[in-house]
Amino acid sequence: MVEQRRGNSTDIVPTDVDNFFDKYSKGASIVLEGAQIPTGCTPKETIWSKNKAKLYHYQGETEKKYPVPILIIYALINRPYVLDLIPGNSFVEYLIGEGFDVYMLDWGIPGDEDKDMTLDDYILDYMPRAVKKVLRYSGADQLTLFGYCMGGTMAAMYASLFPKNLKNLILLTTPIDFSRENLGLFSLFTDEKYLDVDRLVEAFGNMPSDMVDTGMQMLRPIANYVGTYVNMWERIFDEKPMESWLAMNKWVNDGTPFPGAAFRQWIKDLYRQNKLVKGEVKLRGRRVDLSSITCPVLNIAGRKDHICFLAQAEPTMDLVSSEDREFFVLDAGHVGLMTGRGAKKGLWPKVGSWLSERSGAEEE
Amino acid sequence: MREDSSSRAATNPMELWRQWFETSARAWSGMFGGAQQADYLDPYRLYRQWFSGLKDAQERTTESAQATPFALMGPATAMLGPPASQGGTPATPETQNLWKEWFEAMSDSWQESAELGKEALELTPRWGEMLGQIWYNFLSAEGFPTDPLQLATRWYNATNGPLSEFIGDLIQREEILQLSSRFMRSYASFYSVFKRDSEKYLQALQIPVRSDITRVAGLVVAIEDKLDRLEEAFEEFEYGYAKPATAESMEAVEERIEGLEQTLGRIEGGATDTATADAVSGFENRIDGVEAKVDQILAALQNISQNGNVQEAQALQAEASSQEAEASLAAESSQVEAAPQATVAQQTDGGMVHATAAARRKAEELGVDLSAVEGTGANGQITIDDVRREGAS
Repeated sequence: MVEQRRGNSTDIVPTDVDNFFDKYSKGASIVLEGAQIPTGCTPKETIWSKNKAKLYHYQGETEKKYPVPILIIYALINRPYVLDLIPGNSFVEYLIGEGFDVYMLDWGIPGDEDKDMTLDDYILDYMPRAVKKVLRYSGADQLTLFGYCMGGTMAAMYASLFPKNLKNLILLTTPIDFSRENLGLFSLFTDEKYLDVDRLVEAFGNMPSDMVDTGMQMLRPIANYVGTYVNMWERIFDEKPMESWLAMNKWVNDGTPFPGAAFRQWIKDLYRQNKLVKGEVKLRGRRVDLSSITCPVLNIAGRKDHICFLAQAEPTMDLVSSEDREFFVLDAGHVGLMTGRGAKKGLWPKVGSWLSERSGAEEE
Repeated sequence: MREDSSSRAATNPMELWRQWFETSARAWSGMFGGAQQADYLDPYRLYRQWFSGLKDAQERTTESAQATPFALMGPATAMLGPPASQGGTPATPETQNLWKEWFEAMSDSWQESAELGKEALELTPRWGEMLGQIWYNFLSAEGFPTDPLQLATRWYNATNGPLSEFIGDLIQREEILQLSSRFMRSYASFYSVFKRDSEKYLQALQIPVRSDITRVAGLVVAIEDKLDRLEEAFEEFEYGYAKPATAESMEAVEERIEGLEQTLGRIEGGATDTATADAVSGFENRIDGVEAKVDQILAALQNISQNGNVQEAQALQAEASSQEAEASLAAESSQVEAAPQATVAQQTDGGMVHATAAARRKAEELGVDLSAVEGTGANGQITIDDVRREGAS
C-alpha cells in the first residue's frame, strides 16, 4: 500500500516548473526505457566457468574471520544479482563485511542449445564441480551451502547426495513440499488440465521468461503491474532515494528463460507429483533421500511469500535428519526478505549470527 | 505565470501542465485562505473537460446499456455518506458534484465492460460489489487530489485490494483457466508451425537458421564439457587424488587434446562461413575461451612431459603449495605458470615473447604484433584477451 499524501497544495505544486519537468522526464524515461543502474557491484572474480554457469568469488576489504566458505546457489530463473543489489543494499556485501568468504554459482542465461539440460545435469555435473572448486580455492574441507528459492531445492537435493562436503545447509524460501493444498493458485496454473508442458517445451525449447513471470505476476496483478509505477512517481516527486527501486525494477524485468527439460521436470515431478517429499526423485538413477542430510540446517521462509508458500518450506524440518535444525519465519515476501530495510534488520543478521557459530571461528 | 495564458487553448503538453498547476494551486490556496472568490477560478476545468469528454464517449457507445451504475453496488453505496463529511477539506457542493459525475462516468464504463462478459461469466454482482468497495475507499480518503499524481496514488490505493481479490476469484474460474490454457496451446502450436515453415523456407534459400546455430553451439558446449572433465581429471592428478600418470598416458591425452583443437578449428571455420555475424560472434568468443582452456592444460601437460618426470612436477607443485599465500591459487596458477616454459620451446620468432598458443593464433588473425602487447597473464604472459584488446584499440 502506497502511503497517501496529504492534500496540502504548497508541497505538491512545484515552485519552479523546470524542476517538475526534470522529475517528469526522469519518470517517463524509466517507464519507457527501463530502469538502468549498476547492480552486482561487489568486486568478484570468476574462478570457474562451465557452459553458461560461472562461479564467483567475492572480494572485500574485511579480513576473513571464518574459515568455512559460503557457496550461494541461485535459482535457474531470474538473475542472481538480487543478492548483491547495490552498495549499501547487498546481502553479499553484508556477509563479506562480517568476515565470511563468499562464493556464488550463477547459472547464467540458457541459450537454445541448453533446452535439454535437466536438473540431473545441473545437480550432478555442475554443483559438485563448483563445490570442489570452492573447497580447493579456499583450502577448506567443508562449506556452507546457501540455496535461494529453487536454488534451495537444488541445494537440498545436492546435500542429500553429497553430504560429506557440507558443514551447514541454509535454505531460503525453498519449496520442498509441493502438496496440492500448499500451492494456492499454482496448483491450478500447473494442473495438467490447463498446462500442456510438453507442447510448450516442444514449441519454445526453453520456457520464455515472460511466460513464467506472467504466471507469477498474475497472483497480485495490480500491485505488480500498477503499484510499482505509482510507487516510482511518488518517490520521484517526494525526492526519496531511487536507487533501490531502480535496482529492483531492473531485476524484476530481467528474467531468464527456464531450460526446457528442467522446466518439464520441475512441473511434472515436483508441482504435479510431489516426488521430493515422497523420496521418489531420481537423478540419473540415484535416489534423492532428504533424510541423508545430517549437517546443521537453517530453513528460512517468508509469511507473505506468494511464490514459495510457508507450507511448502516448513515440512523440510521433518524430512532432514539433522540434530541442529531451525525453522525461521520472517514477516516478508519472497524478495522483500532479501533486500531493503526489513532484510537489514531481519534476514541478514539472522544468517550472520547463525553462521558465525557454525563456521569454525577460533572463539568456538 | 500570467492569468491570460490559462484561457488560451493549450497547444502543447507543457502549457497544459503549467495551466494545471496554476489553476489548482490558486484554487487550493484560495480555499485554504477562506476566500472563495469564484472569479477566475475553475480548478476543475481540466477535470470537467475530461468528464464531459468521457461522458460523450460513453453516451455514444453505450446507448443500449440500461443498467444504472449503482444499482448493483448495493450496501457499499449506502454506506457512503456525503464524501465531505469524512474529508478534512472543505469542499463546495459543486466540486462534490464534479467528483460524483466523474466517478459515475468511470463506473459506467467499467460497468459496461462487465456487461460484455456477463453472459459468459455471470460475475456482475461480484463486479458491482468490487466497484462499491473501490468507490467507498476512494471517497473516504481525506480531501481531494490536486494533481494527477495524487489522483493516481489514491486511485491505486482504493483499487488495489478489491480488484486483486476480484481477479483472484476470476482467475480460478474454470472458464478463465480453460480460456488461457487454450490460448497458450494455440499460441504454442502457432509458434511451432511458424518456426518450422520459416526454417524450411530459409533453408531452401541456403540461409542458416537458428536451429543450425543452436546445433553448432551445442557442439561447442559438448566440447567444453569434455575439456572441463579433462581439467577435472588433471586437477585430481595434480592434487594427488589419482594415480600418477605415465609418459604414455600423457601422450595419449595430448593427442586427444590436439584432436579437440582441430575439431574446434573446423567448427569455428564452418560457423563463420555460414551463420549471421551477430549470432556467431557470441559463441566464437566461447570457442576462444575453450581454446584458452586447452592451452592451459596443454602447457601444463607439456611442462610435465618435458621434465620427463612426473614426480619432479609433483615436487614443484608441492613447493608452490607450501607457500601458503599461493596455496589457494594453485589450481589455476600452476597451469598458467607452467605455460611460459612450454611456449618458449615453440617459439620460432619474436624473441622472448610469452604468449599462449591461442593468443598467437589470434594475433596472426588480427595482424597484431605480439611484441607490442602487454601481457596480463601469469608472469606477464600474453593471453588471448590481451591480443583482442590490442586488436580493438
